[in-house]
Amino acid sequence: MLAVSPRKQLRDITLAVDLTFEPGVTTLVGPSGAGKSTLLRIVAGLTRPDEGTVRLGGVLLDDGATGFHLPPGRRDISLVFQEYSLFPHLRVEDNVAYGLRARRVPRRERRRRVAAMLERLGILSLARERPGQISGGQRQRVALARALILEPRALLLDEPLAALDVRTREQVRGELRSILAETRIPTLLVTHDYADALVFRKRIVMLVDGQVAQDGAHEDLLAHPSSRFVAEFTGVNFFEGQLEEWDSHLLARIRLAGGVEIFAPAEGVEPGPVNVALHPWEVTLSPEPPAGSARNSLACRVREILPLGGRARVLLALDDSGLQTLVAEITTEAQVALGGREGQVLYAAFKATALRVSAR
Amino acid sequence: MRSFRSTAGPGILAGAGRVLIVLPASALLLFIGFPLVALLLHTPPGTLWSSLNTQSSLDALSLSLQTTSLTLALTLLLGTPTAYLLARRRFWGKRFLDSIVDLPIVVPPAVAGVALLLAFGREGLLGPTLNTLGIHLSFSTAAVVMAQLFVACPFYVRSARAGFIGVDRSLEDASATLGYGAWGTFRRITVPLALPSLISGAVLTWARALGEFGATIMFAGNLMGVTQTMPLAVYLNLESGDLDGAVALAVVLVLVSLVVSLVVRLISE
Repeated sequence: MLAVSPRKQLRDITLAVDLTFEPGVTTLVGPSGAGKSTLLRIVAGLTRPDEGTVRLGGVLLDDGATGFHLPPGRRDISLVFQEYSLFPHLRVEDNVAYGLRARRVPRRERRRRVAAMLERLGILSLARERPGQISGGQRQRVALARALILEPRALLLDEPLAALDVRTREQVRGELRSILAETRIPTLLVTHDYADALVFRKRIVMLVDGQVAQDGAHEDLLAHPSSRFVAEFTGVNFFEGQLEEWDSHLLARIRLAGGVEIFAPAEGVEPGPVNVALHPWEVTLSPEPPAGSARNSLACRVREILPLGGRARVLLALDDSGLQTLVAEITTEAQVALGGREGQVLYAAFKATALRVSAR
Repeated sequence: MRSFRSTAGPGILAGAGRVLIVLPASALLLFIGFPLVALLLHTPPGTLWSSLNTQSSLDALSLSLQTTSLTLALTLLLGTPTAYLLARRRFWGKRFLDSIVDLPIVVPPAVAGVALLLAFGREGLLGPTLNTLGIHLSFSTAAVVMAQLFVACPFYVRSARAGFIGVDRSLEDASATLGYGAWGTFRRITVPLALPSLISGAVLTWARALGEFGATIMFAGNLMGVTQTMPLAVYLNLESGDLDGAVALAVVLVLVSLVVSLVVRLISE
């Protein structure tokens, strides 16, 4: 268990949190400048807290009161840097071996462990390449390999997807999920994009201005946002589904759990299990089936209406079981015009291009 | 020619514009190149060799090699930490320190020689102290090295500082989280990544030390075998009417300079 309760004065804000992390992935999300990266740097030992402590499995790593500080290399904590920070002058295998070399692991064992790790992440063929010669997604795997090979007792990832372009991003997000699902250590993933947080939705800690704004599962944050800010930040619809086939218009037919079908451009995604994300402000609601240009139109039932100052968040059930829900955010006027009482049937419409599809 | 085209564009090189650019450029290049050609053509290679093969020339050559090597070693030893400090740390008075380091580049070498004399010479500020310790710096080989170090080390420090600034700090952080301390990180990450700047700075410093004349003659004098480096020997030969001897050493210096500027160019590209 990782327990952090640091206090650190930054330029504009004071970072002050008190959090514990169990094994598994916790997503640390928030706008830029919220103190997320600083928190990671403190846990990694690169920045010292003004006050408070950092403990890992009961071992004290930092204590602001006594000035005790264990240097970064002796914490058994690995950090995957934003942009990955691979050493450009070293080959992939030497990047991955770097930490073992620092620990004076004998050459033969080093080679064996590096090969095993590269194999595990499917990048053995890149061993002799330099970081500049490989793709963004491959670089991320090298960074993960370099971090995981030390068998750390906690893993930190700073914006692991921010360095990628939108297309590779969706794919790498899925890969990251499967790699991190295997780790049995406290893992902190920092991101400013809530869509990333939705990949690891069990525990999301929202940091705003150096404080914890909310801490809970995605469903808690979505249904009961502690503030308008959280509501805006978290308001992303997220579906699991099955990409069934491509139709002639470069659109894929996706069947969501519960049987509803939607159409979306899913460039580069193969048929199979997929995740679909949709911002609630992309959804329009009408009492009759819409005749407009929106490719997707679903009949659904109003479950709850949450006013959000000038706008309203409408929770809709996509099927009778109520397992699949859709959140639409519309203006208060629109909501009043619709009538919008619970149980009412409405048609939710959204453009195919508003959907973000990624392989699961 | 490539960069000339890309900066000027095709338009300005047409018609009357062409004359305005090509003419001054050719004039300047000729002005620089012509004296060097004159120097290289003056003496036939055979005479060149025999002029070089005299005791005074060989002494000057050997003294220049020894002193510049020592200067380079001292520059690397003292300049590298200085450059790292200036590149990485923020502290009070850093800007002042930055300009102190750059100062010897703009101060006339003769002035530097006088300054050194007034600091370390027999009548200088430290003179009495050094005298009681039995150390006589001025007009010694040590003085030659000091003069070279004074005028030449800034070239290395400047270049190394720029090189260190160019190394992404997060790479050093990454190295720290992976288990290396400050020294290990410096040796394995910072230096290899700044290496082109370190090498070109070192080459420039060495070349500047090799050509050093003004500060040396002021502070160290012109004693054969003790303080008479190649540029000083060129001067003495010319004064005493041995033109061939002067030219022989000058040709060596020009060839070395040519190689140096090519090396620096190759490294920086």
